[in-house]
Amino acid sequence: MRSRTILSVAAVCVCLGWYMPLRAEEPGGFAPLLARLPPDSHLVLLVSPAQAKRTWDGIFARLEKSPLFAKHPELGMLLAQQRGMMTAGLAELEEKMGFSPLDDLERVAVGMVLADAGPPAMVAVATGRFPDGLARKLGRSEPQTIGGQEVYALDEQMMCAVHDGVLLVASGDRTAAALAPAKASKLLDRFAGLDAPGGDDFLLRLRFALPPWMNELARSEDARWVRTLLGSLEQVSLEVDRNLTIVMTCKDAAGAGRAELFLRGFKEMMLGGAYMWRAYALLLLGFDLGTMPGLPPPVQKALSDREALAKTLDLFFPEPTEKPVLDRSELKVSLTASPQMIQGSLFVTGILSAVAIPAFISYIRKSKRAADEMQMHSIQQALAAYRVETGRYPTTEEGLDELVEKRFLQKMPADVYGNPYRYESSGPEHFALRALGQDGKPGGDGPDSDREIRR
Amino acid sequence: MLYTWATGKGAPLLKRNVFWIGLALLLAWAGCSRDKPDEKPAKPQGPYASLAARLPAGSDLVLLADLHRMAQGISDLQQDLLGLPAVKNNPALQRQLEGQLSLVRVLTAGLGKELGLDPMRDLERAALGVTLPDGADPGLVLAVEGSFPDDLFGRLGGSPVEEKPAGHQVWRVGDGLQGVVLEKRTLLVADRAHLQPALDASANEAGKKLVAAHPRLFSADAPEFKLRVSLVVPGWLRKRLAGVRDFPLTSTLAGVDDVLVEVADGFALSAGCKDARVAENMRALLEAESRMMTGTQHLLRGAAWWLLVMDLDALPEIPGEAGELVASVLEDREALLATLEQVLPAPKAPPPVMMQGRRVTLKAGPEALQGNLLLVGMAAAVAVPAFIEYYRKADRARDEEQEP
Repeated sequence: MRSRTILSVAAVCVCLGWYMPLRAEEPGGFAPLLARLPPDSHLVLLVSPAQAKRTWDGIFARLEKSPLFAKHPELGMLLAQQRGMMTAGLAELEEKMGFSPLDDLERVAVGMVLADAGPPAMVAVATGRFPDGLARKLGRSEPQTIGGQEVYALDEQMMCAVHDGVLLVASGDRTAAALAPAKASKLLDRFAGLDAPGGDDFLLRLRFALPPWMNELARSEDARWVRTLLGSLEQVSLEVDRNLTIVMTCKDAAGAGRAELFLRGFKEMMLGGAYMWRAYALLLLGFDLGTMPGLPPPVQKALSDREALAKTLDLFFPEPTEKPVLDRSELKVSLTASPQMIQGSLFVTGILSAVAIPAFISYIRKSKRAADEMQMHSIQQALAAYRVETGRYPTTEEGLDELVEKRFLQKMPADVYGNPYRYESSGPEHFALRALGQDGKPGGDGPDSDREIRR
Repeated sequence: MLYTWATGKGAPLLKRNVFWIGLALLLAWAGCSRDKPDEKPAKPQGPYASLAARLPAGSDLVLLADLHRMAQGISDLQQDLLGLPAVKNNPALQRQLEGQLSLVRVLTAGLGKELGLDPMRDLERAALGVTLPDGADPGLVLAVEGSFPDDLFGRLGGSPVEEKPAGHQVWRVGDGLQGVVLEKRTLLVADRAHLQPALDASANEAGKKLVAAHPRLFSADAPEFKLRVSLVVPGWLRKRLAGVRDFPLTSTLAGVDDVLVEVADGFALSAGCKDARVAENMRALLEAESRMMTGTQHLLRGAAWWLLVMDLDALPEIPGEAGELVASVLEDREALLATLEQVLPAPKAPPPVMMQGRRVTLKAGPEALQGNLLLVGMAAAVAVPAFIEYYRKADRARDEEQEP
């Protein structure tokens, strides 16, 4: 009896032993990719292009089977045309590289280390079917050797290689480490559940651990509006499979309270967005588009078929019924939403990207411009003070250094992009002070445009 | 055969009575279940009858308003405002608001003294009739019941007109408009062409014609309405809309016979359509409107929660007492949350859209009103000018085409 029990327990252990490593690798076999990402990554993104393609194909398949397309097969031709146009760009790439991102990529993992100053360091790795010489085709330089591997430069910062069947694109200083995979334990310690099995419809997994300097931003004057959340936010995770799940983890209860409010807002926005999609679908019916002149006859005929159109719209934009679920446990707040609500979140994301993000970027640009103008104004005042004392403006050769030397300025100023101001004098009574914008070169538009003060 | 059986020679009295009573009951039942015959237009009944009789008989747009109920609504709103958690839990804000409200009351009383009229108490009901002729200025009559001083228009800055029709003092009150107060009970404002018939209410047939043209306006449904607006789309406008071929919606709008809007506790919008297809389109449009209202409510709630994510106390400091007050409101986040939940409640379901024959009706509760107002505002700000601009361009293009 005892030996039988021991044997049974041993059998279970063996089974578990066989099963566990399999599970650990199961998030679609991302484990080998995770091992190549920087262990100090702040942001990790796992994507399943195969699932993206399945989703994409699924949408078209549903559309083809919908009552509208089933009753009006001539529409199928137009749909195929549209699809062809959409994939034409990819086909061109395939022809050039012998590689189709949609068909040949299996899994993609990206790790980013966000620095307080300077560009982020990044490693992107992918498994799939890669043709021979792909890195060479992608690269824009002669091959270099790093860690015994052939790598190619994509630009001044990024390198590219194919190693052990893994396509790798990395910042120069991270390339060597990415070519020599180690255990991903440090990364997995930081991002719990990163290697959890993803399921068949796993599409995307994102983990973002706020770097301490970002938390510190909460103390700054600019971020005073969101200091409670920003100072407390530890990690944000987002997962898209059949559902959309967002989890925010905070360091303290006050921050978690704000995170809960944020996700409550997001939940309402998703619901609002889903209702708006539904409304647009109904508007299509109400506008009676089939009666509009100028439409191609097959489209006109199909749009006049109200019953089929209504059923098809119901299929793609149904009445929002499944509300997102908000849950809070201690310092962790999560929001889980159904695919229908993902549609709603796209509406909100669309509005945000169409209105809020450009507005924010414009605000940042304007504030940079205002800061630049203020700084140029203070240099102008220093130049005026110098002239009062010396009877002239500094010469071109003396430049703005003269103002610092004679203590009219405390230190040599630089513009908001870190570029030095250009100073030229064409006589004791005249000067031109220029800021050359983000590119540091004369001319340009937007952030690259120049500003000038002349006397 | 049945007749012979029941009434034939020798039929017992009971049998004969059963037959005749049965026949009478059968006919009575048939009469009750039969559709009522089309009634001839009757005079409007109810509290608006006397006002309606003064409106232009051919009014395309008629508005009825229960001013007393609206005033009551404003006063209820004031009480609701004081009852909001953010106010109730904040004695300083409560005092401030009560102070502001009594200031409004004092100002209203002062104005009332000057005009001899307290708008919250002395106004009862109003009716407005507008005619929309093709290519001419609209005609207008506004009739209000209440309690008015004889010289109200003089107090409002009007100038007296020399003619005194039927002995009434008439005042010029604006661009082409004239006003009269009748026996301190009825106030009339009308364009010159419509003033005389409006004064002679008992003699004209305007009431009857209005009932015929706007049958739902005087309906006894929802008698406690605050506002009811009926628009019978003029034929010339429908014809012109139908002529605009390449703008979606115009074919549907050209098929709308009339529109009725009613504001009571909630809001109802109903449209009578010329045929089944237009009615189907209208149903889809009103269902879209219903989803937009619900969606807007959710989006407003979302925006409110996102606002609360921020550290509102980091607002730029407002100097003085007002700043302290704002800070005290923003500090009590719990009360602020409860207030938002009260002001922007979660919508339960989209307002229903009903269809009876060729009439489509959307009925929304009071909470959906704010979403609707926002939508109407947005439509007015974007869609209407866009359509007018389009229409002008189309007109210009047509003129150019016709030029030899």
